[in-house]
Amino acid sequence: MKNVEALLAHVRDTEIQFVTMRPPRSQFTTLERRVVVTGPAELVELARMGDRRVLDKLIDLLQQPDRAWAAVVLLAAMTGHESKIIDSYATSPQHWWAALGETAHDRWAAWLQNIGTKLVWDAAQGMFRADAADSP
Amino acid sequence: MKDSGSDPAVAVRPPSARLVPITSAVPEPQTDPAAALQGVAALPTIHHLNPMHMQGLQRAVGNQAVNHLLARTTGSLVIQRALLDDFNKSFPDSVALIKASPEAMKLVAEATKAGTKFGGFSEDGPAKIAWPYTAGDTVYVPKARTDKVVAMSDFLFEINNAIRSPAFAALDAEAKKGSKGSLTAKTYAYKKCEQEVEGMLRLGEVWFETKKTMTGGKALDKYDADFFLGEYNAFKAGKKSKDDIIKTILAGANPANNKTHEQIYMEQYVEVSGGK
Repeated sequence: MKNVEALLAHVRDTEIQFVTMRPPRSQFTTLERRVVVTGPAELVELARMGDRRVLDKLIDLLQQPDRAWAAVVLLAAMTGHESKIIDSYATSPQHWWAALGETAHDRWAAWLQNIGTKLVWDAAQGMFRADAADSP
Repeated sequence: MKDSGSDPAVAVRPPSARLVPITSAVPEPQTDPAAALQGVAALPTIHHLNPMHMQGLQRAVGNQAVNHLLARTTGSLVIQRALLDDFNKSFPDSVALIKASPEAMKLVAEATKAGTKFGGFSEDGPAKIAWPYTAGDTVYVPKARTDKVVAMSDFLFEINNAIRSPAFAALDAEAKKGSKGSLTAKTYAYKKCEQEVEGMLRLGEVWFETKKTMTGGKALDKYDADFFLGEYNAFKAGKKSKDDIIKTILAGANPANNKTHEQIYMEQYVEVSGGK
């Protein structure tokens, strides 16, 4: 976990870079767009580690206003959850905190608790997937 | 003496000591037509004008006038050329197909006006994946696309979305207002899908036009789905209205999660509105 801690130090709103894109093979541009972290290198590595414990650490960071946007972008990139929110605030992240950021920690903690052990790492997709059709 | 019309390099009259060739009096007209015009206007009427440079000046001024006209009507032709030129560096065969379709060229012009750029291969772009995507205002197409038709489809699909991004953003902005805004989850779903369908129909028209210019017969049918040609043909034949197509898509199921597309859009509305 030592390396993870070093990578987590880069989770800051001023550092994160990302794009949103339609999923491979999708013919719709606005359905289930994916969040892909593009920089810095430390956060790209963090997003692709497939380490479930990282999700808990990122959810903790949602309580820090200067790091919460970066944390939620990573969470969306790693799980697909709330990707639409990231997409719709991508050009105005400063408005996200007041609208949805303050409640993000509780929302994500509840989501992770609810999804429980169903999350599995899909190496081909580079993200966690809920391993059941009835996932939240 | 040769006819100057057939050989513009030959002057009508030999220059005399009193006459200053226009080449030394004004800048090269093709590189700076405005300056060339000003230079000509400032010349005394006794100046000898070299026909070669006269024709160059006429061409440059004519091009400038056409560019201004097109910039007023469809955006900037100069920038449109840059967008296509950039795509041409990576996918020249696809650009040849685009140029054969007036609808495709119209899309490129609109994308240019919206500030869309071509950033190069997807693998070398910010996301570093072999899939077409748009980052900000810049479109990327994977180098893995060795099929000129598929590469054209990817490029046009992405710029088509770039054109629509203000409309998508406006719908999201309205959804963020939740019940205080003008949209419900259901109308948000419909309007989002409506934008998608308008894009689909435009791509359908591009492929309808392009296919006619290509040889290949039935073998080209494999690309029909990439360009939504089935929906386009049904729409053009009056068999389906835009509303029919929207409702069919909304009722369709997403194989990844067995939800209908309408459900997914409605969930998006709830997400971005925060449920308020």
